[in-house]
Amino acid sequence: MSALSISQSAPRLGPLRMLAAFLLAAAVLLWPLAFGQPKFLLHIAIMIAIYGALAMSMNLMLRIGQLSLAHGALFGIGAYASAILSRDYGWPVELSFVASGLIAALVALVTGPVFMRIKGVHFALLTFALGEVLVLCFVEFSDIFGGNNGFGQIPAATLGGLLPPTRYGSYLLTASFALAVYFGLGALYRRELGIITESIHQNEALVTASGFETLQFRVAVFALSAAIAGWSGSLYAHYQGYISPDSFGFWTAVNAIIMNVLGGAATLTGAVIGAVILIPLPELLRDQQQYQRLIYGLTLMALLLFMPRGLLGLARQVLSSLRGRS
Amino acid sequence: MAAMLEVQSLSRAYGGIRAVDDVSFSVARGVLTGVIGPNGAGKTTLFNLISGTVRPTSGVVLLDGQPLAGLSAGAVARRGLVRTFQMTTVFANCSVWQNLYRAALFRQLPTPAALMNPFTLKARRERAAAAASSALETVGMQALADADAGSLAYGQQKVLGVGMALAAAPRMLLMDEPAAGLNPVETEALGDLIARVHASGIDIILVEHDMQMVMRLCRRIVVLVNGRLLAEGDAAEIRDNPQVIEAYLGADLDNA
Repeated sequence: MSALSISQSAPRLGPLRMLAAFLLAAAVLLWPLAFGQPKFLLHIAIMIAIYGALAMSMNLMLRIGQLSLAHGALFGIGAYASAILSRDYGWPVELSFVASGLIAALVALVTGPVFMRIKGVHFALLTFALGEVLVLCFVEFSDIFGGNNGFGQIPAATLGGLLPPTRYGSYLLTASFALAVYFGLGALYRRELGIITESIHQNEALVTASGFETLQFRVAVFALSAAIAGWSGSLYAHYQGYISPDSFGFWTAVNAIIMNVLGGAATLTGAVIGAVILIPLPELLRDQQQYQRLIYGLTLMALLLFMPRGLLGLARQVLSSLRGRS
Repeated sequence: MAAMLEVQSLSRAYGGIRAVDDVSFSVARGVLTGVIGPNGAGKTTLFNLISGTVRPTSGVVLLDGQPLAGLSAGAVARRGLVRTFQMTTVFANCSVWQNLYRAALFRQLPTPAALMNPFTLKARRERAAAAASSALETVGMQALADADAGSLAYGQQKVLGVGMALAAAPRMLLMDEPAAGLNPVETEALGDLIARVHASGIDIILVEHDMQMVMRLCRRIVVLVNGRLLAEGDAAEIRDNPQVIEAYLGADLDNA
């Protein structure tokens, strides 16, 4: 009978997909060796890894239907926390990294029980306000955060000398983190977290009626999302060596949302594809400095208008029409 | 007989309007109880007050002697008081079995603490699967287990809704107009199911518009009019109560 249908929610990957995941991870981590570790490309790739991870943390929020505009600031909290702990308090970078995500999660745990009752536009505005307040703190409390001038001389992460002290070393670290988020969240989505978020999205009252604590769940998801955003921020700080408040504003959150919409299909892969496209765009447009923003905006508008389900949606459409023809 | 559910001077005001006004009654264990009343009598508000989705202005609800005040809707359900919905409510894009499994899973893993405990996860999944299979059997939908819930007929979706409530391990079902929108054949079948569930030892309160169904199933009936308790008694007493005939049936005739 249908005890068999439990296998629908089988949480583990088959051996073939496991192999594919392994090959993907190996390719992501090792390609620079084959291409002579090009510095500029590596820089772009590191940014993609960091902002891709931030986009995936946003994906988690979108799954519970809550558009957070505070994620730029949570990213910033991670960055500042890690920078301050390692530079001013002499903590090892590794420990500062761990703490940075936990501190961001703590902000979510404190604000969550109130914020997560608020839905829709009101939630977006509330998180927008929270983000602005946090960024204002970064600017105003200049003794701690360095004010508008920012905060420099942040030690780089070396994992106790394990990483080569080159840009490729930074890439290995950030890409590993992005892969861990990708596969970790993917595993959670295939398990109960996926079932629950999807059900809440469809009919929250029905989920509650079975005895589920939706509010607590939302807060926990917010905290996990904030932790990932905080860790991404920490990696950003240790890679750049210098941070300032304008990296953590409203636009950082909006870009993370755009990456999700652009990649499309509400999947983690979509969020990463969005990062792969969006991050290099300003660099490619560098020669047209004065038109950079204009072209960037127009490109975005065109992409969103003509691909409402994002690039993944478009790819699926093309694939299915090809299949239909043959 | 011990009261399974006790409602004590429950009131809920919206501005100046008292949707539910000082209502008290109790549901004894094993006595299938119906709450009836014309449209606007306050049935839905009373329903929401008991299930914990609306807070009372004053008064208390006791389940098996325990007050439900201040509990979240989820916590009320975990105490054993599980509600069903008037409109069909199923997860349309997954199978009948998945629907039952989900309901059971939410009951088994209600909090982040339960979700994140790797030691009990497997046992809880198994318990959820067992509860889902048993609910599937109770509602007699084995043949439809793999069908998409959204593709089912309206009546079947309502039966599935009852199954999902059962998968959440209730001690008492609080049913919101289960017969609404059903044809006579479906209503009869649903009535049989309700009687069977009740016979299996789960207490039931039926908040219902369909008089025939209530008269057939309920041993005790509570009549609500304009937010107040008008009468309480067995089917024969209610049928012969002139106040009820005037208020309830009269109002219904006006509507027709």
